[in-house]
Amino acid sequence: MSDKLLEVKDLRTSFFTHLGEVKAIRGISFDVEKGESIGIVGESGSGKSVTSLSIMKLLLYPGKIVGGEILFNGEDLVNKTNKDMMAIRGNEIAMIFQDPMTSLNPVYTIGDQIAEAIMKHQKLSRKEAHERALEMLKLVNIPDPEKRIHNFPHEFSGGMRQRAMIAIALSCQPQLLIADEPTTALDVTIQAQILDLMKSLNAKLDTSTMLITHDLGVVADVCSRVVVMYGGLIMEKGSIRDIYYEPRHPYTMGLLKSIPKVASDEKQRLIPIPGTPPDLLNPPTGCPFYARCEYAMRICNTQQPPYFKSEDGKHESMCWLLHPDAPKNEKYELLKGGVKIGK
Amino acid sequence: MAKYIVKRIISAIITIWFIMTLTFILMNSIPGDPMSMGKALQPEVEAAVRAKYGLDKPLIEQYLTYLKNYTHGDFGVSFQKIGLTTNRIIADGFPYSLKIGGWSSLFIIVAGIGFGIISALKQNKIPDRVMMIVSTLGATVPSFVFATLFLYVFNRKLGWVPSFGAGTWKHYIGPVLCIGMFSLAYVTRLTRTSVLDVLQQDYIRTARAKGLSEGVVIIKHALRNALIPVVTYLGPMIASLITGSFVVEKVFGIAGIGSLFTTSITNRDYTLIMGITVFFGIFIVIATLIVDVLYVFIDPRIKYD
Ligand SMILES: Nc1ncnc2c1ncn2[C@@H]1O[C@H](COP(=O)(O)OP(=O)(O)O)[C@@H](O)[C@H]1O
Ligand code: SF4
Ligand SMILES: [Mg+2]
Repeated sequence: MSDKLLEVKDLRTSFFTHLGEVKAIRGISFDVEKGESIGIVGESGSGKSVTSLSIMKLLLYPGKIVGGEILFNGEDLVNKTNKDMMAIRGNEIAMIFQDPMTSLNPVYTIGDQIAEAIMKHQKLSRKEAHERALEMLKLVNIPDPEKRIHNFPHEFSGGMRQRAMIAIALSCQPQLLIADEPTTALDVTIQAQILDLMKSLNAKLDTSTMLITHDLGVVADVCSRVVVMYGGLIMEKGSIRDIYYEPRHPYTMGLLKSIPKVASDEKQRLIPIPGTPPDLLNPPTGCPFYARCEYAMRICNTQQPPYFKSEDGKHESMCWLLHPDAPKNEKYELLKGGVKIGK
Repeated sequence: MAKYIVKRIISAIITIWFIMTLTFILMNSIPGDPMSMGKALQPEVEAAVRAKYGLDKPLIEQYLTYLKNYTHGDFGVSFQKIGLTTNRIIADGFPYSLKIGGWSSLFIIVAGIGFGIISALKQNKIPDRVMMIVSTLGATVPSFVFATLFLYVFNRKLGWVPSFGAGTWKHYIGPVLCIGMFSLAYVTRLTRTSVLDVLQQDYIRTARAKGLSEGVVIIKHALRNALIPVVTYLGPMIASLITGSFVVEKVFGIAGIGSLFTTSITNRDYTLIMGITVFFGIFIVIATLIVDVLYVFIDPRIKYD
């Protein structure tokens, strides 16, 4: 128990729009151990960002946590006041966002923006904070940092801005780093550099990471465990091995097929999953993937499947096909052996 | 940076030259000679004017003389009254308009931006709704209606302010409010929209994610960005307020440059019209120039090379 940094238990988050309650997160549970990196994967709209903003308690009106617990070092963040959260944000839990082009304030220098969090949480003077900011810029491999620290965001490239965001996030040595699609907006070579940087810094600073992405290919290198989300629910979670080589959920299998194979020679086309995610204003009563699932059975439409666990209990999948009474489907059994991925 | 400012000054000078040329062409393309318009002139006035401006000379020469006089700060003499010059009118009327426009600008900057921020932070709550209704009125009610209403209530009914002239500070309350009403409403709305827009930006979320307090997020991270479009409006606004308003000056009985300008138009006093037009033009160009230079300090993204 003591080695759990973050435990999310049956978290539910909704947006109370004029059309009604959009149930963006409908009861998810997962945990992050100290020093561990986990991946949260799912298509756009599956609830990844809402999950991370719920943990940070940065949901904007009309978003609200409606149930569950978020235990951070054993303390429930759900009941914390904004004032309590201010001491945690940027200090114990830090976050980097998808779009580095818009995530930095255009009118302040990079140095000021890094120093700001340091001054706030570490009670350092302006000068000391700027020295620390310079160290951070060196740490994230910004060339010519003494000069660059005085630059404004528009003088930085996209990749450099994301490095600066990482510098801000890690400046107070947080215990948990939430990275919400940190490489999605960057081109492929820069993506790899940023991921490498995050990986090496996590090891160096002993920070746990929640890496959020819609690309299963991205997490393989960085994370030890993966949570697969869809329609505001966790479809499957397990170790990297479980998810890549023994996927049990048709949605995970679909995601695996849609991984871009950059490193491989074979010019294989991406196979996106046909169809669109469910309407969270009126979420389906059964399996959220029912409408798009090629193996869907009658029960899938009416009853939400429970989690079926592997023998060690660490690989969990929400799919009726794993029920002992489910009819055997040959293709599914074959895919369960794992989809070959190029890397 | 210095290069940018020099460049902007040069382009301001070119703009002023352009305004002068355009004014000259327009005034000369109005059918009829200024001398032949309206009531007959006294012979000595006509002679003085013709001598001064060489109206019998070719147009190009007239144009060059005009440019020369203006660059020496001589904005022309009246066609209608001996001894009356544009410079005199500016010296007499402008101080009043400057005072009214200046206070009005200050009031708008403080109150307009303040109201706009409050409105945005209380979006769709009662203070916001009230301010939006009031600012809609402010932007749509014509200033003469507002001025008349103001005098009726605060002079006639309550007797708090004098009705006519520019003797004491109390005389200025009405003109300052009436002349600035539209801009106050506009700045309030502009600030509100801009603050709401900036609060949606990703960098505001980044600021919150750093653990900054809501006050710091709003004052340091949101306002600095939100005020950029407001500053753009302020330059031309201040220029237009300071150059006076005929309607407001007439209602409150103040001989400011706005009403003197209008009088010279109704009198068809050509040289005065030209002189004041160019003076206003220069004023607006300079105000815009100041904003452009300020911009460099406010928005680091401005490219000045
Ligand atoms: N401000 C909002 N108002 C209403 N619904 C929202 C809002 N933000 C998110 N949602 C809902 O939450 C769902 C999940 O969004 P999000 O977490 O951003 O997905 P992603 O996995 O792409 O990060 C969306 O499909 C949408 O239905
Ligand atoms: S529960 Fe049914 S619909 Fe859902 S993924 Fe499994 S087979 Fe497909
Ligand atoms: Mg997202």
